[in-house]
Parts: sequence; structure tokens; C-alpha cells
Amino acid sequence: MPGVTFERVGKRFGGSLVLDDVSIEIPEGHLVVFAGPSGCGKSTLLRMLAGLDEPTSGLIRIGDKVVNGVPPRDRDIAMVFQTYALYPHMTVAENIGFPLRMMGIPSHRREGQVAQVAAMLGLTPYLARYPRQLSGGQRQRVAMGRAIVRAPAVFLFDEPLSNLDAALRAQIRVEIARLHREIGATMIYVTHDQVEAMTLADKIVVLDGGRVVQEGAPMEIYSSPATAFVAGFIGAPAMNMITTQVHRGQITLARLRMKVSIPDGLVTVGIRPEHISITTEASSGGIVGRIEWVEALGAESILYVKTESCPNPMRVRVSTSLPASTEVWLLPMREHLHFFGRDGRRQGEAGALVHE
Amino acid sequence: MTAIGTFLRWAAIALLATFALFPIYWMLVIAMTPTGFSRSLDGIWPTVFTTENFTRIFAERPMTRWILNSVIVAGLTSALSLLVGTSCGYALSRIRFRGAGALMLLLLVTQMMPATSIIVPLYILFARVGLLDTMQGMVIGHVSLVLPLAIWMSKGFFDRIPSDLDGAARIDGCTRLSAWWYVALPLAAPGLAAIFIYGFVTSWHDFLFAHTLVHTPSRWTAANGIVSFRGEYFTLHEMQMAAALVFAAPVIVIFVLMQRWIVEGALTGSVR
Repeated sequence: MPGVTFERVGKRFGGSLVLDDVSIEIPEGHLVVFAGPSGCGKSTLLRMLAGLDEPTSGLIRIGDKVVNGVPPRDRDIAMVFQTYALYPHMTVAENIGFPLRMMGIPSHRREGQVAQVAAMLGLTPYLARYPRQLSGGQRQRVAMGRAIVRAPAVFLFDEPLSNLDAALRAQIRVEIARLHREIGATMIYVTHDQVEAMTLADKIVVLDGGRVVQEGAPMEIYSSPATAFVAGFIGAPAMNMITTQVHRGQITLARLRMKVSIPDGLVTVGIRPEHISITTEASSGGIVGRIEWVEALGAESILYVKTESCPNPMRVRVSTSLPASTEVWLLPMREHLHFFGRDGRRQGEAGALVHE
Repeated sequence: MTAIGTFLRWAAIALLATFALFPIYWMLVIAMTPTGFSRSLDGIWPTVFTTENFTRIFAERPMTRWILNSVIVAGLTSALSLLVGTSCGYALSRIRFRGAGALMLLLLVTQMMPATSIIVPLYILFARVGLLDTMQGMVIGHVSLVLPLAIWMSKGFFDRIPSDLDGAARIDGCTRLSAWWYVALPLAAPGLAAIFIYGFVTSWHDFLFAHTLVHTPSRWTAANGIVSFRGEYFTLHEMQMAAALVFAAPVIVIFVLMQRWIVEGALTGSVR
């Protein structure tokens, strides 16, 4: 079961540069998620691996074989499209069996394989139906079945869940994870949904503006994002960002002053909503503010706290909610602060408090 | 709706139907009048019926031959236009290349020119390459009439088929050609039926090319044959009308047969 390598891959559409010098290594059997906002080039990367688009520069390998210029049918891949791309004039059984038919496998031998895949996906009762007679979730499963049936070396998923409702999305997410565990094939999954990225991936590759910004295990990216963009993209609700000044190796956040190992100048301080403790008692080192809005999610609540030191309200994740317009003091946990320089890159660490 | 409204509506429908159907009724009346007596018809109701005109056109003239020629020419014209038109239309719909837009425009421009303006150059050209007075020449002439619109129409039908389907087919083991054959073509079937009918009817009804490019009576199409009932000194109106009715029948049959193919909703459920 081969891995996949992108080697200095670039892509231009007309005059615009969509991908710029992208190198990614995907070890065999891993499930790797390409994450990023729309237009970051993640789908183009996938389509080039599938052979539907050709890179302008660079090499793409599946296993040891360079696949540039190889037609899609000879790449031993399967793809699940965002639109599912089921053949409307074929039944579920014919859709799932189509790749086998194209391999020249006779129909009596196809039937067994199709039945097996259909059973695995719970599609057995629908084999004689046409795609238009199925629900969104069932169509999605047929698309997966069509990919599974040919046992490809590499599975490609292009935002496969974006047309489903939330409950179904969670369910099929689990099914994809199970599928990966069971067949152990190399899988590449494209999404703009950070929850899908976090929950499914062995490794996440974050793309922005046609470049790889960071790659690593989900928790690694979550706990030490390489840039302010990644910090904002991974994690929901998004990380709080406060722009401040480093002056003689110190920063001041409201009345909180601490030493940092960062050169003097502008800095963006990031703190995740769950890394702020909140109290209703006046606290000398805290940032004073007022709760503007409360989002009660059940097990937890997100408080939006308006402070003087930050134009946007701070998002704070708490397990016991407080009523709106309460005056509160926020205490960021120092060990969880992230610092980003003017270029957005991660910098330095927080040091000791200067005084409380 | 009030009674007056209903009455007015039906009156309008009846009026329009009369306008559309009276000529056909009159064709029928003349065709069933004994040969030579249509000029002495008075009033719009016939008094004597005969079917002799229908038998005479087959017995005294090679009507069977002419109809068969028409079927051959129209069938070949629409089949060829379909084959070339759908492959060109698919390429124009799916492959991006420089000048595609200009090419489409050029095709449209050829449709703007009246057939009468190209018939003389076409005649000279056919005379040089030996296609004059041949049925294959007539087919080529008719294809040139049908093809531009056939390409435009099929490009439109293929544009409506999501390109993800071609992508999926190519990943599932198809070449570009077999993706066209297994996926795009079946999905465009209703559109192809429309193109076939358009090509068939255009070729069937053509008189200009049929009359100019072919002169041997055994190679005439029926459109040309019907004209032969009109002589220098007298015209056999009754037989001509009978021939015209026979001439119209196959087109109606083809249309009825292919109508069921032209159904909406063939694409439902492919994506999303």
C-alpha cells in the first residue's frame, strides 16, 4: 500500500498562481487531511493527484512511481467527490460495480463484490434504486461504495460531508474513521471544516494561499500553531487575538505585565477560549470586562467578554455560565499564551510575571 | 372562470386551430377529389371521394423510390450530424483550448447566411469534385446545413452535465472517449433525440439543395418528386396533394416515436 509524495508542486491557472512550491510527504496507510479556507489550493492538490488536473511544475509520486501525465484510470486511486458524482442513469448496484465493469470483470463476479460492499455500507435494500431515489446520506454512501469496491491504493475524499446535515456528518465521519482502520489504505481527505480535520487525521496539512503553512499531528497543530492564521483556523471557537507592544522585553495586557523572549515591537498575543480563567471578584492581575453575550451549548458555555484592551470581545469557554452584563476579571493562563510576530509567525515564550 | 371567459378561450383556440389545420384539411380534400376535378370544387365540403390519387402516385410515378431516397438522405444526414456534432460539442464543452470561443462564433455565423447564398458556390465545388447528381453529395450538403446548430445544441446539453461525472468516470477506469460513451452520451440522450429530429426534418424538407444538386429522377428525394407533378402546361393538383400528404407522414411518425425520449429530469440525482 503505497504512500504519496508531492515534490515542489506548483500550479497556475492562466495568470494566477494557485499552488506555490508545495512539498508534502504522506506515509503509506496514513489518513492525511488537507485543511484550509476555500481557495487555498487544497482541492486542486487533490485533483492533481487524481490526474484530473496536471501540475505546472514539480513531481507527484504514488509509491515510487511518478504519476505526472499518467491518466487517472492508471493511478490506482478512488475518489469521493463533494457532489458525489453518481451516474444518474445507473442503479446503485451499477454505480458501485462500474469501476469493476471498466476493469473487464464479468457481471456474475461483479455481483458478489458489489453485494459485499453494499452490505458493509448498509445499502443492500437500495441496490436496484437510482440515485435520484436516495437521500443525501445514502448517495454519499454509494459514492463511498464505488470507491471501496475496487480496493485502490489511495483513497481521495474531496469535502465529502459538506452537503450533509450536522447529525449525518458526525455519523459518516465516524464511518470514514472506521473504514480507514479496517482497510488501512492511504487516505487523503480535503476539508475546510476544522472539526473533521481534528477528528479524522493522523496528520493535518494546513494550506493557505497556495502554500503549506504547517503540517503535523492534530494536537501538535492545536497546541503550537506555527502562524496566527493556523491558530485562528484550527480550534472552535477561534483563538482570541490581542495586538500589543513589546517594550524592553516586556508586554502589558491590561494590568498584567510579563517578561517575554521576543524582540521589541508589535506582537499578537493569542489565547484559546479554554485557557482563560474567569472570576467575578476583583483581581489585581486580571483583565476587567463585562459579559456582552452568552452562548449556552449545554455542557459548556461561550462567554463574549468586552474589555478595554481589545476591540473584539474575548471568547471564554466555561463550564458554569454567568449571566450577561456581569462584571468579570479574565486571567489568561500564561503557559498557554501564543505570540505571533508582525509576519504572523510564531515567536518566543512567556516568561515570569514582572509584578502582579 | 366565468362562462364567457371559457367561451372566449375556446373560441380563440378554435380560431387558431382553424388557421393551422385548414390547409391540411384542404390538402386532404383535393387529394381525395378525382384527378382533374379540384378546380370545379365549389364550397369547402367535398361531395365525391376517391383514393385513386394515392394509388396513382405510386403506380405512375416512382414515389416509393423518392420516399426511400428521402429516408436514406435524411437518415444519413441526421446520423452523421449527430456523430460529428456530439463529438465536437463534447470537446468544446470539456476541453479548454485557445480560440474555442471564436470557433463557436464562427459556427454561428455560418448559420446566419441563407442557404441560397451558398448554393451556387456549392454547385461549382460539387461539379469539380464529382459530387453533383449524387446522393452522397446531397447528404454532405445537408450535413453542412445541420451541423453548426447540432454542435451548438450538443455543447449546450453537455454543459449541463456536471464535469465531476466525467472526472469520476475517468478515475473509475474510463478514457476520455469511454467516459463520453458510458456517461456523457446516455445522459445527453434526450438532447440527442432533439438533434436527430432537427437534422431529419431539415434534410427531409429541403428543396433547394435537392432541386439544385441532383437532376436524375431516380435520385430525387420526395421533396423534389412532388414538384414534378407541376408541368409546363398543367398541374396535377390532386396527385400532388396526395404525394404531399404521403410525404408528411414519416416525419410525424418519427416525431411521435422519439418524443418519449425527450423527457425532462434525466439528470436528477446525479449530484447533491
